[in-house]
Amino acid sequence: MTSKENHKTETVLEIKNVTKRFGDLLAVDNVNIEISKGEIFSLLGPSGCGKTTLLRVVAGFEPPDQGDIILGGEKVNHLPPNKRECNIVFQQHALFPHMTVFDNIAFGLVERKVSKNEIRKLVNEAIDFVNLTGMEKRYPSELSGGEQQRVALSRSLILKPKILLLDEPLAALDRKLRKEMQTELKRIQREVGITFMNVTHDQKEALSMSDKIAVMKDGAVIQMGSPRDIYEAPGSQFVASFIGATNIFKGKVAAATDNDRYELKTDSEQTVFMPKKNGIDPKNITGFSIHPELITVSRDPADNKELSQDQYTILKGTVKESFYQGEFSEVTIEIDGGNRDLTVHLNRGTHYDSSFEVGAKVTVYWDWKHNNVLEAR
Amino acid sequence: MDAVMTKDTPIGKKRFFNLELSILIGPVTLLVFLFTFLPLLITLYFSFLKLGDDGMMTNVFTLQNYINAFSGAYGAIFLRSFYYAVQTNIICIIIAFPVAYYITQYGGRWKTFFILMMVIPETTAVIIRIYAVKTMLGKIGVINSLLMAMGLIDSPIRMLYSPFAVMFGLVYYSLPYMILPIYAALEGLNPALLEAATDMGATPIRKFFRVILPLTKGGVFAGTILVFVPALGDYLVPTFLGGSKVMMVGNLVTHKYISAGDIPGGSAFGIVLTALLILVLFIIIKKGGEDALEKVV
Amino acid sequence: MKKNNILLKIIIGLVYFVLWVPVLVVVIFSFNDSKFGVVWKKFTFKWYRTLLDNSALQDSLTRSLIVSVTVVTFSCIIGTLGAYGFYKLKFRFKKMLRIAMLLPIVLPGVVMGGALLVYFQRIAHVPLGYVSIILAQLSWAAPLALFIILGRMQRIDFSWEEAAQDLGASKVRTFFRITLPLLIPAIGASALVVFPWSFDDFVITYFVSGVGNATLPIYIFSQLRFGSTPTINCIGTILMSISISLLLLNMALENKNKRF
Repeated sequence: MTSKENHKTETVLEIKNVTKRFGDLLAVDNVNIEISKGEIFSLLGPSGCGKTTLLRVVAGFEPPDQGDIILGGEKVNHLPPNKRECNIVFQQHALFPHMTVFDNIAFGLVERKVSKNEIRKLVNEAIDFVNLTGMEKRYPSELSGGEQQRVALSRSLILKPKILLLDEPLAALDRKLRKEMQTELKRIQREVGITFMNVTHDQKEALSMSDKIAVMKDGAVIQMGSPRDIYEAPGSQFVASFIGATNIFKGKVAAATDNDRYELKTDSEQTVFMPKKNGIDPKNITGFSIHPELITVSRDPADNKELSQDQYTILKGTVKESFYQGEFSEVTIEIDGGNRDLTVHLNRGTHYDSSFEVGAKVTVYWDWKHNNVLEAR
Repeated sequence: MDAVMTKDTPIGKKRFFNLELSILIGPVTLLVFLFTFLPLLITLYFSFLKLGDDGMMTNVFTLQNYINAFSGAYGAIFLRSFYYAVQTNIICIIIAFPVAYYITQYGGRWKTFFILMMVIPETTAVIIRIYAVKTMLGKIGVINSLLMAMGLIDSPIRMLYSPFAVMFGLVYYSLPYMILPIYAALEGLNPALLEAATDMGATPIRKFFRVILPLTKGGVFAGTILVFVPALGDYLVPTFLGGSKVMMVGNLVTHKYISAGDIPGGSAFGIVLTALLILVLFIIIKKGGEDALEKVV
Repeated sequence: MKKNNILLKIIIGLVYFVLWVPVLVVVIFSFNDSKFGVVWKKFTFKWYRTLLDNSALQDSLTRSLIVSVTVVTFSCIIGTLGAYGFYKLKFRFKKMLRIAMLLPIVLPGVVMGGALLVYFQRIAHVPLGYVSIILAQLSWAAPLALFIILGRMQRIDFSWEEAAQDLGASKVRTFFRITLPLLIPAIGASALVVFPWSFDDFVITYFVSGVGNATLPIYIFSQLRFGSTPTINCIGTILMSISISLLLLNMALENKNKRF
């Protein structure tokens, strides 16, 4: 089951202008997505954003009101789910309780009228592949969550679909299992070379597993890109706050002073520099975000380092709260005159000796090139 | 299969004749229409026809059958049946609560056993059970024999063929149907509520009326539906235990159809009975919730 | 509270006593060597033996069995299809149909019996006998089965059906490979409810069976009309044992199916 062919440019699934309504509710709003072969693509968003609906439209359980689903180059809108070459791994696994593991995995092959011998061979291979050897005769109720997950996966993979759709596959697992399954999924995907479309609300899961992420809100895709793009350069306030802990400053561009930067006046009357980026209209800018782990905290009076305003955004404040999390400490700092709090993550590795008690006066600073521009979206 | 749809069939277009729907819902609908709905309509039609002097039905329209239903002896029978059904219902409720309460409170591990012991007599054929009641109440029946053996009476008490016997029979075979829903409702009660009530100083009586009864309303309504409806139209109990002395609507309708050959009369009485029942059901549902009927099933 | 406890116990005792005594009397006296009365003479099987020679009884028993098995079979099939349709499909007259189907279950036997008698005889020209009895019983058995199965369907998660379809099964195949096996407990339950009701049914059957087509309850009825005989006790005892076994069977099945 190895396929290392480099068909990265071949589009396996195209979601074209797809819209879906349920009565008055606009569940999917003119979504356009292209997924290449061998890619792990994730739809990320909060509950109710339409990601599961979109998945079901692709699978064939809901017809789109507008738009097309093009699978492997062919329009499949009219095809019922049993005739489409894609398979779902359901959130609740949906393993058939009255059938053994073997029969569950063989189900699709039986429908395809594959010969008994061939079925036996393929199913046993599949069972070995997901490390479930010896469990063929067990029933789903006798399996653990992780084992059930693997059976569900096998059941779909064995049919060699053009794309595998996963509906929050790790949501039902506990944290440790989740990590194992993520690794397992990645391994399987790499070895089989199959394309994944994964639906999740867990940003960490999306970041660690995907090649590409589409962030959805209220039925529309508001940002699409690599995990790095999404995390390091979220384009809007929604994406920025959804993708992880972050600090958001609202403000308007005051002037473009130099070629490489904007001057932003924040809501709290501070002037901050922001990097100029191509293709962004300064009038559209609503503020910026800065990740907590990029901020440095030092005592006030400062460590006597001359901090250049030209290089850093510098603010002064008072420590409000400090939460020890083991690998990092989350420190909340109230900014002077700013009427707002800043969240800082002090990584234990780099801030080994630092500890800040509540009430300490500190200076916070960071390289303003890290300020991430936020647009209205 | 879905072979009819092609690439160009716009999704969402509903086909006029839905095969799937017909296969699934069709048989039941047909059944109910042909063998419940239509016959009832026919009955309604016949109820307005006049019975000729020769015993055959004529084509003359008349309201006489209905007038008969409400007057004289017949009217009295309707009234009595209603009265009995109501009485049965109330008696069942009064007995059901203590029994159900006992089982939930003190049943412990034996709860299933208690329920089983109550249900098993119900599983026998109705006809057998009513005959069995006869053995209890008859002149040489159990009760009389017991009482005589204990020396409490000298000669057997006449119990059969009396209103008492009919009521006894009705209650006897309706009781489990009232106990079970009330038991289910009591089981569903949060015991903390009762404790809270006692804690706030409620006497047992007040506790019952102000906490238990309102919360087990559903069970009472379900039980009422299960008891009242069959009791009102019952045939076997009045026949066996009432003889010709105590007639209920059930006997009346049967008599009209089968013995007297009076189809219009039987039809009219049947319709009146049905109307009465639907009225009562309507009231119960209004007070107890729309899906009470289905929950019962 | 102690006082209440005793009062309660007395009430309970009385209730159960009253419930069971008639039943026990029937059983005990089926073995009694005496024509009537509740005086115990001596133990005997002789009344049971007479049952074997009673051809009228056996005829009616056969008839009852044939009718009930047929009714159970068809009501399960029609009920399953209908329940499935109700659960999954949306259609315009759903609410109305639902109420309409409660009608045959709720209406008194005398009303439906009379209506059907007239209907069969004069309108539909259905011969009175097996056909009329089966149809009449089906009219309430099928809706009853439908509601029982529908009730249990609420507990089944139908994402299994979607999984099956996703894996390549057509709607029909999905129904037979996945849905039906999962519904078997519900269907079994409805069968175990419908069978006794059908077997024991008196009133409706009495109306539409015509002359000479007695089912067991009707046979018993006609015997009782002319005074009781000990053989009735025997029949009663046997019927009771069967009912109890069915009940226990039902419970055992319920427990077994907890694995879903």
